[in-house]
Amino acid sequence: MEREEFAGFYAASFQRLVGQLYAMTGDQSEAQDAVQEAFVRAWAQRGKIDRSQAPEAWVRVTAWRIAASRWRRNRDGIRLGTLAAQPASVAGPTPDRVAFIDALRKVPAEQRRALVLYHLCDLTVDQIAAETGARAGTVKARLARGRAALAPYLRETAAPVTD
Amino acid sequence: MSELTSELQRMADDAARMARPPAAAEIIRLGDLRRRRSRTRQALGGLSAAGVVGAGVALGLSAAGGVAGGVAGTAPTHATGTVGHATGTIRTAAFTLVRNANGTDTLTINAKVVLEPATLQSDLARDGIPAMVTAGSFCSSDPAPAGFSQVVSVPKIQHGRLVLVPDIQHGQLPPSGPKPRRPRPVQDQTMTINPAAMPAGTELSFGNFQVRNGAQTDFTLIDTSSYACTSTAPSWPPSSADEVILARPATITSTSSRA
Repeated sequence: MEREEFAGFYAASFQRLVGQLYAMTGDQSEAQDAVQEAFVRAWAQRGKIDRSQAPEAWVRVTAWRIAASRWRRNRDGIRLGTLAAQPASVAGPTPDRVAFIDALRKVPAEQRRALVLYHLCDLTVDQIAAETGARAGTVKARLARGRAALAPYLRETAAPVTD
Repeated sequence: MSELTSELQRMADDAARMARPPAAAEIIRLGDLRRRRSRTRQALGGLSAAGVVGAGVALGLSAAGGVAGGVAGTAPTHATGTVGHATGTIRTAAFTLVRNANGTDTLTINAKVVLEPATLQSDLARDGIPAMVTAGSFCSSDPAPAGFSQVVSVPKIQHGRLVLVPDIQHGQLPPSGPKPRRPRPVQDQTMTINPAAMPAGTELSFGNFQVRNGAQTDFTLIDTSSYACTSTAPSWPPSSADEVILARPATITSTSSRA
């Protein structure tokens, strides 16, 4: 990947990836830090990006690992990983949305990650399994548990998980 | 689209709107820096395998990313969100890095804790300070690039404690005479770094050495195109008055021995 191509890729995907990482981590600044660092590594190891054929997925996986690594290093990692930081200040969120965001933060990190990859990144169960290194059955279980935890905060019943 | 998908999408969209991407050029610059470091480490690794005692210590710590035995655990708190722009504080067990509003950084090193090189290096890079941080080895250029005193300022005396540093602010070594007393225990030492004053093609080099009951950090400015690394901690005070003033690394020394 050449410099200009990388700059274009960065400009096109940075904010989207921060959004995805925010949904996974619940921490806006952590999401931005992790995505920035992942892009730095992406450029430093651009040969890997070229070989991966899926640069955005590579950066997302790397950013997730960076964020997860920081949780582990942090003494309060469990607290950060599950309860996360304060909600991003969004103009006039409804009480329902605040409750949903709070509920999402209480979902275990791997379940949250699976939910985001499935519902937000539109990946299939098999693709999520490949990205997270988990078995397809584990991914399905995480999705089911995560959705069950969030169901009280949603008006509709979520559609069943499809492969 | 399910309600869950919609909610997640709204959350992500809000976060994406708030994201402030640094310039692509900055990301590329930091990536190039990281790539160069990685190659330098690989090159040093070869030297270590060839028998350069101690160089491998630094490499081991760097490659392990902070999980090597003997390195104090770090608990970084990242309060800054963007590369080289925001003010904020990064705090670990071994150091605190404060990004000041005037573009300088204040680095405080806990002399009782061995630095994790990769962490300090990446956090300095995040603030736009190109640096090579090693443990058990120290890299320097001969001759050293000019401008060190504009880049780094270190108070000679901090809180009445003896700090073994040359008077780098004025490019002078302390007056000759009897050797200074053995240093008293030092908790933290602080320096201010002005990345804007760093000449092109230079980096700050930090070498962290374990000494008796403490850690010693040496630092200097290096020419990235010409430098050499040694596993021997620079000694101070100098053995002769003819030492090149600014080529000498500044040294913060700490031991827990009594004066």
